Amino acid sequence: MSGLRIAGYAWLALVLVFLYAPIFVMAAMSFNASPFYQLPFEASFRWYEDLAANTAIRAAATRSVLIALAAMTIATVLGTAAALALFRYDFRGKRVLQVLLFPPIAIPWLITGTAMLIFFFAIGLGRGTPAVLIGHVALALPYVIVVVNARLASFDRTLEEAARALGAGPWTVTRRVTLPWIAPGVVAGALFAFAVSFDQFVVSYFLAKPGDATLPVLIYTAIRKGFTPEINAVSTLIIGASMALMLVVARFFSFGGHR
Amino acid sequence: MAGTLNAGEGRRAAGLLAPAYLWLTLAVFMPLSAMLFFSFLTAPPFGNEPVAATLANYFAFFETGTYGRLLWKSVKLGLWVTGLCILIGYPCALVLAKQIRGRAREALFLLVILPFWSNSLVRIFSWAIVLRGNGVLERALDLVWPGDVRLGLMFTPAAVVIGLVHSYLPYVILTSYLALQAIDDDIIAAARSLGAGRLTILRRLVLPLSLSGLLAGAVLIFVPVVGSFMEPRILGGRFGTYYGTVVEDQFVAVFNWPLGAALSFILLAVVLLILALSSPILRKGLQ
Amino acid sequence: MAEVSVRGVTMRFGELKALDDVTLDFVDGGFFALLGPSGSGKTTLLRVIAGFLFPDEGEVRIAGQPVERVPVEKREIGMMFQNYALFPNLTVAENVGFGLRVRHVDRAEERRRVGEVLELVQLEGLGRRRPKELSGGQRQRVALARAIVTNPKVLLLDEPLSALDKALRVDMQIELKRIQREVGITTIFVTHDQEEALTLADRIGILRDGRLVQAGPPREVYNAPVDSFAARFLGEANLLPSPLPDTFAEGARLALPEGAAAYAVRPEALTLTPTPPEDDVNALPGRLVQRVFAGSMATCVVDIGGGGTWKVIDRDPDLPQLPEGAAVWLSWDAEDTIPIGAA
Repeated sequence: MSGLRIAGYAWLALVLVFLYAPIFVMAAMSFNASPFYQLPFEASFRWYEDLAANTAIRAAATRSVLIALAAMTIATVLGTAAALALFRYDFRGKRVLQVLLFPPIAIPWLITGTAMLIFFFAIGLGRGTPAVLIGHVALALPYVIVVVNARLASFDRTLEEAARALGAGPWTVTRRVTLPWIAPGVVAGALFAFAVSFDQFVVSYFLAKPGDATLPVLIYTAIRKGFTPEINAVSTLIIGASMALMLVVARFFSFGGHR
Repeated sequence: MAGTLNAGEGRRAAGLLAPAYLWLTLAVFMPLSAMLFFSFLTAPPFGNEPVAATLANYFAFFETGTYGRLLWKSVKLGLWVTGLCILIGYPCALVLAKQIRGRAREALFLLVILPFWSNSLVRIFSWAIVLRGNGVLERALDLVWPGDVRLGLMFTPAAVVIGLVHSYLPYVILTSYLALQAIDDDIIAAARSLGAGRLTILRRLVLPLSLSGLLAGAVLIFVPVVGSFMEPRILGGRFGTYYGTVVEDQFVAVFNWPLGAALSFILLAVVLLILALSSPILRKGLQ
Repeated sequence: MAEVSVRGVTMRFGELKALDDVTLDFVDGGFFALLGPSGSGKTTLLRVIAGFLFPDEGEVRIAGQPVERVPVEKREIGMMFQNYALFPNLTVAENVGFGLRVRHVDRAEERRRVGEVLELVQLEGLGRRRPKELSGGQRQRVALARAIVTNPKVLLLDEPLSALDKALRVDMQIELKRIQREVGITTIFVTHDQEEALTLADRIGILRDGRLVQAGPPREVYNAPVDSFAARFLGEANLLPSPLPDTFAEGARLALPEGAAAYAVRPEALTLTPTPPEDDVNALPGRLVQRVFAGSMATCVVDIGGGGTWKVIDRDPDLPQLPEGAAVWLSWDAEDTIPIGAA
């Protein structure tokens, strides 16, 4: 093996260490008895026990999961419908509609979040869980549309035509031919939507009511007040859960990882 | 075909598209318009103060120089983070796409981009644990380095850069990897058969052929980093004042929403300018 | 230009022996076709000669120099790939000049030689185009020009014509042969198309499961295949086992030479008649199963009872149309019996 190849593997290994080491350190520290992350390490579950007893964190976690489930459901239904229309019909202005999907992804969330805050106050909705949910759905929608579209791109349109030729109406064609084909894309899009909402901090931060925070907002507030190992424990749980979720997504949807 | 839907098709297309796009209009496009409108007001229209139209919020940006300096500081932060991500991420993508084969490649690729989909706030928090004074990193270095190591990284601009690079590195690896993977291996084989060394192949073929992906990744990193506020707050300490944190302050601490809206809108203008300039590359790189 | 020699080359991929003790000589200035079904090791052998792969055992020499551990970029070879592998970001002239630029040839000289070789492949004036603006045949020519502009010692072609449609392929075969003669470069090419091998090559080598089955001039391999695989792979062959089973085609008149493992008869050597032939030739009775008319000839399938079905190429399609199912006789001259291997 040439020196360059070894250097290549070494570089990749270093990058992986850089990406994962802090996460492992955080996870390890959540099992350390010292409240100030002191070494030597002394194994303990006390922070997880504290966590289980912490009603504020539990309430925020429940709220985050419920919002993510609701955002996932709405974004998946609306996004799949839009993706189907964008795939099936050709019309003037289609390009514009496709381009309009990018601002929610590309504009920094700081801008989107503050703009939503202003607008929701202006129309009298104000802060709170409904505002958070509306924002999360908007952020997740483009991901669903893009992911479902990618799956549709490999769909053989003549299948729909064949079904039409056999006398199936548009709705039957959609239900019996198109939807079964795009199901993996829809599942992947739904999981993306869940992840976007569940991990969302910036927009929630501006839209959540102080007493009604989502989990990331609660964590941020706690960190700014000073570290607490309970936050550490809940962070470890979150990151474990979201990585597990993305591994599931990877089963349904290739990230372009293979040919 | 284009523009020739019959009435029934038109209705169905509209029925499928309307909910999603109405939602986006309500939750993204109207708020952005409202923010522009707000930025020209003296006070929020739902307070008790009298409201008038003004350009004062924009003058504030240009008069004091503070905001301009902070914007420049954020742009520099964006350049640093983007540059480091490219230097670290591109070789990594190259190794993944052209050196590793088969199932190992898929597994490693997934491993590299997995953190990208985990909570970025939590990942920033994990760096705070690693970098803090007498924390894990310093104690680990104590083991391999004689004496008491004091890096003093926590609450410095370096800590902010490290955290942001960690957050955004997977972007550039992802986009570069996709572009590199599209390069036919026979093209590299052909160059070798013509006598080209690795450096020549990289400079004349691989880099130009994957440049669109690399630049797409760079834009995707630069834009959010310029608007970052959570990372500087957690890792930057008293050095952590950036353009993003000032905008945040206007909304959550100072409650000067019109000024916040104007500052936000100026940032949006900068971002849109960058996106517009790079849109041909983005379109090519994100296909 | 130089001769290439391969001695005892073995190449393993894990358990699989992709090449098994292959020894072959490629003469200076010759046009050599490596022929075999997919998975036979022909492409592996080409890549070993090119230097993309280093053999586990054996020796590769180019112009007398041992090169089996020299990487491809140091071997001074020219190679053409199946999909041409043109550099999409460079123009035609930059593609062709790539190897010269790598060798630090000065710019004026580079322009002159690129111009010359583009003229040789009849692409004058297309230097500024990008590969994606060219037709398939033009890309092919650019790939060839790029491979020969550096005056390599040997030109290696990996199924160079397989991506072209039939008509264009025949044109390109003639063109390739002309250019190879003009330049006089030792050329080795891989193909699974036996017709292409016969048209182009002055020597061929047939590979099977990583082993060299037979090598030699096309006529020799065609007329004297060493085994039934070679007989059937290069051209079509009807096989007779040896010794013949008792049940074999009742009424057959056969005068076969002694001491062969099997016999082959080419379809075009057979004559089809409705009655038994009168002269003293080999003859087999059978039943006409199918007759497919194809312009100047007809391909017939004849059931010869215990010997299975034989293929016959009948160059006299004006013969009275025999109905399918009719009793027929196949006959051939004694010298058209090809003995295969020793018994």
